[in-house]
Amino acid sequence: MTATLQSTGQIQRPAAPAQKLWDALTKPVGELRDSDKPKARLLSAMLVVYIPLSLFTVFASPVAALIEGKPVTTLAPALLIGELLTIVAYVFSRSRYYSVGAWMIVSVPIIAVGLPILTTGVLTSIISLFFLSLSVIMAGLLLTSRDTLIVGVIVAAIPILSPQPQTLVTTTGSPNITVFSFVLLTTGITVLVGRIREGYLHQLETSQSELTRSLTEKEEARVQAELSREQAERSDQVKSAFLASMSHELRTPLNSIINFTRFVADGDTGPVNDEQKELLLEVVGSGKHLLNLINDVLDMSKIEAGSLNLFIEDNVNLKTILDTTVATGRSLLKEAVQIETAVDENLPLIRGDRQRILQILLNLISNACKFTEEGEIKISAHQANGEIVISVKDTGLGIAPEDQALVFEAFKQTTTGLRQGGGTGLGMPIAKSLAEAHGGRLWLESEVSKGSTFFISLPIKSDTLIPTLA
Amino acid sequence: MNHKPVVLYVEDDPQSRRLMQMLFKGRMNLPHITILENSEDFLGRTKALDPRPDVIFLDIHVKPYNGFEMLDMLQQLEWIKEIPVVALTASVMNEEVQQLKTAGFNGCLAKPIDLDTFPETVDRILGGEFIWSITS
Repeated sequence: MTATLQSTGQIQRPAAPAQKLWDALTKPVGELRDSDKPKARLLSAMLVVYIPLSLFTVFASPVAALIEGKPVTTLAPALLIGELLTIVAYVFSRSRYYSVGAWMIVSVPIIAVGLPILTTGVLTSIISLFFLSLSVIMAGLLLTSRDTLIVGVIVAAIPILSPQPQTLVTTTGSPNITVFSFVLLTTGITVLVGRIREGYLHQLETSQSELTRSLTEKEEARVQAELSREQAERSDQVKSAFLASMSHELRTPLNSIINFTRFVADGDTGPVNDEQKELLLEVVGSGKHLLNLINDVLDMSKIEAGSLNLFIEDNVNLKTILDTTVATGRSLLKEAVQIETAVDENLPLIRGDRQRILQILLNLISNACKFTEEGEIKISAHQANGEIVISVKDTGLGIAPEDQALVFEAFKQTTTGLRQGGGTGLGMPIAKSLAEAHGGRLWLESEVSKGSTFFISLPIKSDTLIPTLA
Repeated sequence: MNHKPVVLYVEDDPQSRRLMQMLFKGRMNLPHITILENSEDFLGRTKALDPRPDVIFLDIHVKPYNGFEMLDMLQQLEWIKEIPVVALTASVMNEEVQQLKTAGFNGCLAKPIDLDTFPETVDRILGGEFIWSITS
């Protein structure tokens, strides 16, 4: 399996420069849990907006005074410390300790508004109370539910613990109701903010778990595909090992059958009469036929199992292969038959499996020699359109149109072929498969009683064939 | 070759041994033939050969050391670089021959052997030719 798991991330559009700057200033850089990242980012974003504004308000009037030449009033140390702490909170917000920064920011209204109420008991305006509740809202956005609750309790406790709650009367006329409604408001805000955040977090978790599930499903499918591929590969290996072992087990006894018989027939072990010799040579012939049959059946099994591997070399010399096969062909020729060759002298070297190309050509040429009673066999080879085309033309019986397709089908020798006796009926189908495995073709043209021409084309340098490393 | 080649052959199948004996001795008239029926102490027995072999034929399915292991052992011998080591085996499917090539054999002769061409093939091997017969 070549396909790999694709990245499931969204398509990234190129960010605008302002977006890049914003991201650089607010994106959490510390190691945070995924659920904390949005909170840390919100805090950073708040401070990135707040710090320049507050710096402007703090330094605007002294700078203006300096420009106008008026005497510069000294800044209150509390203001400067406040600015410094805000910057520290921002630094925290970018780190894994963002919650420290969050606490610092949440504490600001409590200290600025709550502390004077607690110490003096004076509540200057009802707005201050709402300013206090800002702590709770921010806590809800920036801290955990537990911390938000703590902040809520602290804020609600401030007016109750105020040493002089009666001063509230001056602003609203009914202190108890005000304090009660403030506590109610604070609690309400705490609960509301908590719910909103939980809802948001839940949504985040749901989408995350969906993402995880779809990733898991993809991974499972991938593992499954990998498993079946391995299984197929294993069964392929078992098949190949079986065929190899079959070949070995059949060839070993055939070695004895063919060659001991030859020794006896040839008189190595003592004189034999002509009849004995003839019969013994029949045994040798049958043994050789059986050997060819084994070779062909094994080849065919490999082709059908899809496990036929070519051993590709560069620089295969077709001329040499043709010389070898023509020499073999001559040894099979009937007396009244001539072989003529017309091989292009400048035939290029090609990329392919030397042994298999030899097998294809041996098949075509020995067939032509076997099935031609008189006349001539003409073998020609030339280059055309990045291919080598070799043709083997005989003056044999020819093949009827209805039989022509059968020639290339396994175990479907034509009636002529069967009558002639030789062959396994597999040679042509194998030769065709071998030619096709090279990216070439094998075909025939024939006319009954005139003869047949078999053509084979082989690419000179096919990119789909990769040289096998020896 | 001026003199008849000295042959070492390792083969565990008794019939193949007898066959090759008839061929080497009876037909090719080779005076120095050593045929081992297993690969026990293969290196020691090979070292002890006098005269040393001109060509070595190894069957592949031999015990306790198979053809590939025997080939590895032979690499320790000083003179092995000049000597062709040829597999003589019935395992001659394409992949198997490729393994032999990769392992560093100097050729492969398939069983069943061809009695008529075998003597000439041995001469070609001794002449430095690499012969890879996949089908006989």
